[in-house]
Amino acid sequence: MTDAGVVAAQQRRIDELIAALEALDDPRAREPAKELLQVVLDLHTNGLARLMELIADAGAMDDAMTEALARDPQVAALLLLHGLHPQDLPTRVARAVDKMRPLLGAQGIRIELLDAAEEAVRVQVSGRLQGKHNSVGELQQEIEHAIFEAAPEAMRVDIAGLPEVNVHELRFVPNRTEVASRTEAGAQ
Amino acid sequence: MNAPASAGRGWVARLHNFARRTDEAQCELCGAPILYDHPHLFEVAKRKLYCCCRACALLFGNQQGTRYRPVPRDGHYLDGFHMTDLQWDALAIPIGIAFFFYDSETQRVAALYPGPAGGTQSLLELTAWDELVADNPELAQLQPDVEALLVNRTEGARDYYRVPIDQCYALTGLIRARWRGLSGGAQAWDAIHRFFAALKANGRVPEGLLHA
Repeated sequence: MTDAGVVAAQQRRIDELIAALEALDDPRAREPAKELLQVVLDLHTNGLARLMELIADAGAMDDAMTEALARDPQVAALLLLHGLHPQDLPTRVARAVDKMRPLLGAQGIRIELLDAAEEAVRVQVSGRLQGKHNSVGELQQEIEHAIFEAAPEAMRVDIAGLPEVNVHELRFVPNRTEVASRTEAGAQ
Repeated sequence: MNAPASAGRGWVARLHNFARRTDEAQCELCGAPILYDHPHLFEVAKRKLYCCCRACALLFGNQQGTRYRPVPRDGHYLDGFHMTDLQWDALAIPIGIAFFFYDSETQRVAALYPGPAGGTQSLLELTAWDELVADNPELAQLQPDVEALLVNRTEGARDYYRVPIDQCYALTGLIRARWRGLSGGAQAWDAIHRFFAALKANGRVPEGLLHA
């Protein structure tokens, strides 16, 4: 498995375990787990913050170091978890949107970043969705995925203009219905 | 790969949301977040104490003749309290710490003493209690169910306190959590000393001490 794959698998496992603990009938049973997690997180946050300070004090936190830390999927995940990533949330989100732009452009979609904050990241889409395998749902997932990957501490992603790009699908819905009823008639 | 869209939130946000500090307790009546140091209400019919927010304590605690009775916030050291060793022995409490309150359900005074297994109720008839009230009239003013006489006669102490009932249960919990072996151990006794020192000085034990 690649480094990124390992991190993704660990994130999935974290989600599964949280869901399992949240599903416990007795809320008191999950308190020790929550507290253990919080204490271990605090321990790592303090140690990592100190580690970053030491690197900076040694004069080694230059652009090359910042890039190297951000590029390593496992280091980046750890720094994101503890709020210590060298790039702030708006910078990371802006980069993710820039990276998406050519891919979405090929599908007939323009994307602009409206606002990037921890409470909500807001983007605007426009254009007409093209390509026969794309639905608005897939487009939404693709954008959310890219933004949450760059800013996993974000609480929400709002995508404005999503229904308006769906011209493609609206035009083909009546046709599919006609095909279906003809087939049924033929079968009888 | 990433979380389902229904989860909202990035994975870091989800993890922090789950691990948020456990001291964010909730009001058992309305669910609002409450602090460590919160009021309690006593439900008469169920003989149960509820942790609650200040709003619920005010709202439900001050309605006449209803389900809940508010637990008073502060207690105080009873200066000049009279109790002879003979009177204490007559109560037949096996250890030096006990609390007494009027139980409105059984309509008599209950004596509880903290032990390694939690609160233990003394089953003896408390004829000596009436004598104690005659010597110490303030005892007649204890509010039923929610206020108690707390006695500390450990290690030669002769200390008496009028306390909210939740403080008695806090002491019971503190002892149960720390008691080791037959004699309790240094940790348990250290906690007991600090509890009574805080109660004597402030009429209330800071919640931080109970969880330390």
